[in-house]
Amino acid sequence: MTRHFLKGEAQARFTQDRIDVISDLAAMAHEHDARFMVICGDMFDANEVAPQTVLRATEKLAAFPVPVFILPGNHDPLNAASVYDSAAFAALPEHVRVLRDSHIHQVPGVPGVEVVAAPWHRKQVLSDLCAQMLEPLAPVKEGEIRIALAHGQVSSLATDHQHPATIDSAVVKQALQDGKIHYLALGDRHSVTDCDESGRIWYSGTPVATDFTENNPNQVLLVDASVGIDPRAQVQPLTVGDWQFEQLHATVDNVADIERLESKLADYQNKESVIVRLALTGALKLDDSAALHAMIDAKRGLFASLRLHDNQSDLTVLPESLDIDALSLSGYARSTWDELAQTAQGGGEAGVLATDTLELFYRLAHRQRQH
Amino acid sequence: MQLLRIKLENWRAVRSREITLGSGVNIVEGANEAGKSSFIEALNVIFRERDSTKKKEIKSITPKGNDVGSTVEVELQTGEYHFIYTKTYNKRAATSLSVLKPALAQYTGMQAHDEALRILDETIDLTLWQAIQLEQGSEFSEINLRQSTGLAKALDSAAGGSGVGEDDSALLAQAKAEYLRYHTEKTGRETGELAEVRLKCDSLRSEIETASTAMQNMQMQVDRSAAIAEELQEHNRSLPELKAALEVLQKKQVELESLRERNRTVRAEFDAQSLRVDEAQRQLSDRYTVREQLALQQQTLQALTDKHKTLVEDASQLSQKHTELHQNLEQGRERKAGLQKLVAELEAAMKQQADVQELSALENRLKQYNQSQKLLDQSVHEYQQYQIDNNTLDELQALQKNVRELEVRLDAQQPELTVTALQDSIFNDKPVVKDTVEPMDTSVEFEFRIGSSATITFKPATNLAGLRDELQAVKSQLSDRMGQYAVRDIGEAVAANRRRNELHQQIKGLKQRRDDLLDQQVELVQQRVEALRASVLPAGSLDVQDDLPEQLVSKRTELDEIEREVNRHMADQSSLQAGKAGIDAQLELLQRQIVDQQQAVSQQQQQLAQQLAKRSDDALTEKLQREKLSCQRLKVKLQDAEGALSQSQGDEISQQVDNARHAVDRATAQFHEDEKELAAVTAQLDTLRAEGLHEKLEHLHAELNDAQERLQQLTRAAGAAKYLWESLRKHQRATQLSYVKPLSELVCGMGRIVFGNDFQVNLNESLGIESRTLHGLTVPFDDLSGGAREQLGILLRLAATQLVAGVPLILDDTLGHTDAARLQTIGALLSTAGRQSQIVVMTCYPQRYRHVGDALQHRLVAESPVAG
Repeated sequence: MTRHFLKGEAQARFTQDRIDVISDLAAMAHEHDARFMVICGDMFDANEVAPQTVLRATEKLAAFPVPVFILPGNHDPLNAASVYDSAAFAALPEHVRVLRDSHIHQVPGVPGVEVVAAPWHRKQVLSDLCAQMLEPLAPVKEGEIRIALAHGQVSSLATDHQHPATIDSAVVKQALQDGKIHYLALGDRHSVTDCDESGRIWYSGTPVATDFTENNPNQVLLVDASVGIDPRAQVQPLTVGDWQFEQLHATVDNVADIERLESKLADYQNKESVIVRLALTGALKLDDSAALHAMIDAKRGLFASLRLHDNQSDLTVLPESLDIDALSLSGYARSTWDELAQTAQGGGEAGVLATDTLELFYRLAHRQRQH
Repeated sequence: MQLLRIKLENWRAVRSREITLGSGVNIVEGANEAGKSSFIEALNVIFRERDSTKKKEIKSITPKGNDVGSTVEVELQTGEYHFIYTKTYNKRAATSLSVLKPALAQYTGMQAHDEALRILDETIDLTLWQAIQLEQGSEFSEINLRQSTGLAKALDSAAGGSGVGEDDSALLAQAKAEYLRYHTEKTGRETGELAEVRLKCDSLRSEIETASTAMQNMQMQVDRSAAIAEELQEHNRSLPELKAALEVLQKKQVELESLRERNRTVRAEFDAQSLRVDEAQRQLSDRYTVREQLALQQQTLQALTDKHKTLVEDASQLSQKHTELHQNLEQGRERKAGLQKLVAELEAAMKQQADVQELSALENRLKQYNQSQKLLDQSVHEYQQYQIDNNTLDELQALQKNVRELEVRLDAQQPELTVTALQDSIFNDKPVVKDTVEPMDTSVEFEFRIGSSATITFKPATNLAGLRDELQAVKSQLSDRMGQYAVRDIGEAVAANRRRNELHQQIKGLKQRRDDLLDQQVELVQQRVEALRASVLPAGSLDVQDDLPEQLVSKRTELDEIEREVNRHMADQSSLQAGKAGIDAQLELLQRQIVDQQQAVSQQQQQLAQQLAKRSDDALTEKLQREKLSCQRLKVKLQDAEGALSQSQGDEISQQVDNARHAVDRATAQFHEDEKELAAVTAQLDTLRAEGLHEKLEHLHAELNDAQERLQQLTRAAGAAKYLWESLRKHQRATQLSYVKPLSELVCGMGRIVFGNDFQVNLNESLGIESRTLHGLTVPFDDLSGGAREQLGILLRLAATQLVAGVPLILDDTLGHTDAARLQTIGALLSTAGRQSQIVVMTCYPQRYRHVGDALQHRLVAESPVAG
């Protein structure tokens, strides 16, 4: 996954971490004695990922200590170009399985535990695949466990209820009640989400954060779906990734504000994995504006990304007499400054240009003064 | 600044020379090549060029043939400083600076160079100093005051403080550099990183479009693959169905073939039985036909017999009619012969009467004709006696006229000579009586003597003799012609001609009257008369009847009627004869036909008798009924078979079988096609998948995003740089224009002293002279005379030194083109200006500067040449 705000080595680290997380999960599975792992769709961003990405991912999967079930989602559907039909996947050992249909699969080495799934066969579907998967299922035999895997938006959370692909929460609940399944593992939503009071319908989120809009990213769910002990599945979020996407809102009107912002930035841990988007508002003098930009420039190298979010920022630069006094301008330079300042105050496009010009003017004159 | 002393050693042609200068105006006088220009050159070089320079122009100051170092030493005061600055170029290059004030200091080498420049930079406007130096031969207009910060300050001050600080030029330079980071200087096109990033954005967009297209293509292939898979699935489902349907139809087709075979058999039996029915029917029909034919033949025989009888009756009637007609015809013929005879007699009588009348008329006309002929002959006879026709008369009259004319001419020319004897005398041997008048013929030559005293000879004129001869000839001719026609004079000739013409007319009339009497030749008339006389009966034997014509007409009419009647009878008779012949021919034919028909009837009766002997009519009818019954039964059987066949929908089944077979073939072919296409699409997708298009596209988008952000930053920065540069330039230009005024006023003030009160000068933004206005006439600087340009150049420099105190002005051999009056005023100006700034004038014509009031004079004496 490429993030345009990540440059050079940061992007490389991010990409590698998204692959390395499989090893982290393997270690975690071993640590928590997990019996198997399910991936509920969109393991890949697209079927058209680079062959090396697939090779690196499958190598990690091959080394996974427990069985792995992979559900194709809307980003990596089982169509003719499916990444799961590549040679790399064909070469994977038996314990890594791509769920290509809605048949019931026994989990290898775990007697009495079944997996059933609703794989995506194309990028866009026009039916509730989950409901179709659940409909023919018979109730689970006494003493056995059946885990269902699905991908998409559940109706209880969906914004577009009318979409035919929406997973009908009622149908899922009914299937749980009818004993057709014991737990529905969902994919698509990048935030860890408990979808039902039964505690048996969950989105596991994403093991590595990918965007500013995600809640509780960098997690996986450790699920204990034992039957007969507790009707509620035991679900435990475990933190795995360490990338942070931070949108930092701040008001900067003076030097003190700038210093506060600097302090906030300093507080971040593991800055090399932190992506900060600054949403700044305020009105600054020219020299303060210069100071703010200098501070941001100075800090930028510490972070994976530190940038001013133009769409979310509203910073106004106000040239003041103090600015011009500091520069000791005279003659035609002075008259030029005055004219630009007047245009800047007029606002609009011309005002923005005049403000930019004043900042440049200030910088050049200031440099001249220093010399 | 004040130059105190300048010393040169081994500088071009100068071996060693030194001048000491005072404040105010210094006039350094020296002949050509005394070294004046070398001093100025040395002053420029020492403050500009390091001693280590290898420049060509510095190399060239080495004295010719003397490879030694060239040294310049300058002592000067500037600001609070007083120092001696020495530099040696080329050989043994060295620099030294001895600062005497404000504190003693000594520098050498680069340090000395930098320190000297620092002091000058601190105390004077070096740029202005260099700009206002007016060297010998240099263009007066080549003065760049614009770069002078000292002048700018002064102008700023004079213009009311709107000018530029010392840092402003540097700021402008920085602004320009910033502008040039993003734009080209000449055209303002984008350049540098801005252009590169914009190019990169375009390139990335193009790459993205390509990758996106590939992605779309891949998606299309995916969709196609899914569609093919569905089609294959459909084929897998539908192909067995199609095959099963084909089998069912093929089975139906076999059953249908069996039905068709049965149908064919029954139809064959039915067809055979139908033939048998037809045969029985034919036999019965033949029997009826024989009977009908016999009856018909008998009827025909009867008809022929009846017709023969009728014709015989008709022939008898015709014979009777023919006899009657013959009698009528004979009677008519007799009557016709009688009438014909009577008509002939009447016609003969009519002819006799007509011949008599014609004879009488012809004889009468013949008599008149003979009388006319007689008169004509008499007239002709008389006519022949008068031979003078009109032509002859014309000829005679012409001759008569000719005679008269000749006589007149002769009379007119012939002299008259008369001899009158005064006494009786002898004349021409003839005596002449006194008072006798003797006319003399003057037409001929003659001679007469008068006694013995004289002889007189008379010769007539030559032409008179000719005339006379001609007259005589004409008269003779006239006389001959008259005699020929037996007339004596012309009067008789005219009368004879007139009579001849009268007779001619008379003959003409008689001929006409004679010819009118007969309409043919007289001989033919006479023959006709003779013939009539012979045929006409003697008179009295003819009984003349007046009504003969009427009788003849009546009889002819009667004869015509009889002829028509006879002809009609004859025609009727012919017709009757023809009818009779026709009937006879018919009778003959009928008799032959009757005989033939009787034979045919007999034969038919024999044939029928033979057939009846074989099989009776009833037997034939019974057989036919039997065969028909069998046929009816077979027909029912056939209808059953056909009904079964039609119910089986034979054609449709065949079509259905064909269609089903084609459907199976087509579905199978399509199935294979789909399989092949799916394999191809899958292979294509494997290739496309290996390209990692998604990540490639993500990378490109990220790069583009990055580049666009950078482009946006650069565009803003470039916009700001451009705006700043243009704004600064705009204000700078405005300020520059405001500078022009004080300098212009100063130059004008000085100019009025030199040129007069109406002098005006126009300076441009760069503080150069644009034009001069004098006596209301404005002339561009370049169009002015050399003298005026030089004077204005000095004025501008003097004005600059007045504004920026402390900058010395050095003039090298100027005012060469200036007249005495202006030398005076310029001298005054120089003297005034010298009070504020040091002025050094190098000249080989010191008298030009004798009007400079306060001036120090220096003289450069030529030195002996440098030893080679």
